[in-house]
Amino acid sequence: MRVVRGLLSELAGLFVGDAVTAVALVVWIAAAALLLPHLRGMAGGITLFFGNSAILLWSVGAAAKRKPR
Amino acid sequence: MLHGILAAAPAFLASLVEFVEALTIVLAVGVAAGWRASLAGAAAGILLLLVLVGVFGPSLARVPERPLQLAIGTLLLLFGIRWLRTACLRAAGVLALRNEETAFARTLAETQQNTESGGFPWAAATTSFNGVALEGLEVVFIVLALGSAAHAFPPAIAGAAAAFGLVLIVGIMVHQPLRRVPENAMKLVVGVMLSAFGTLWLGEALGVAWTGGDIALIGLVGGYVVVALLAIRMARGSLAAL
Repeated sequence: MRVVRGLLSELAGLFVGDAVTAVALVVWIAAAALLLPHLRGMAGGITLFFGNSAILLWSVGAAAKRKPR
Repeated sequence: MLHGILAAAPAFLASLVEFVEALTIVLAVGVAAGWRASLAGAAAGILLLLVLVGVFGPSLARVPERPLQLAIGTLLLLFGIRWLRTACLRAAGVLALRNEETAFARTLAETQQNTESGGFPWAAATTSFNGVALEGLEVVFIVLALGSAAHAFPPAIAGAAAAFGLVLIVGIMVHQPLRRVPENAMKLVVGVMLSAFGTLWLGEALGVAWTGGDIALIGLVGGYVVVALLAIRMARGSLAAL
């Protein structure tokens, strides 16, 4: 049981570094799944890219303010 | 052709980062408890990774394209943004850069402490096995993700195998942790490329009509480079203001 738990924790660790960032990305992807089918051409792709980028910028900025040298 | 190269590059660079870290562990265990245990553990780890690729690779090839793109795109985006975030924070000085010599000294001390004299050093072999298997798990994911969603298994496997061969040869030659590898820069490039692939496939699964195929991928790579540089600059500014 401990081995399975350890393995699952390692697997989750592949995708989740900072839990809040991971949750924000998943929520954004869910929102994008509802929004993107209504956008035409490249608009959906650009929206997806800017949403991901905004989350990255916010996450890095928040970590920099939280963790002084 | 371009898609193949774009799939091989992140597989090669990510594998290089992970195998350098695994080499540090294998070297430390070898010095502390002997090469028989260290290499046996490493060989068992490599075998496990090959089995994972052999089992999951063909299975993923049978999954319909749209659900596969949705799942792989989401996971690649999570994985890529995680690497990108860490690399940006390290480049800005918020997080400390990984130091292979420190990691080597720590593993060496732990292995010496846990190794009993007499008999086969199972604890040391397990440390070596864990190091190779856990570091390699990320390589397996990248190879499976790029291989299945981009239909590029041969380039992805070739990229990972080339990195393995390179680290093995250099490791045998220098016999010490590879401290001069620009690990964070490589991590940043891999984060950018995996985030771009993740965005491309997730977008396709959600109905985005990307114009230009591979050109869209190059555009996304360029976009994420700009965002990463902006994030580093922003983090440095926040640190300076503290």
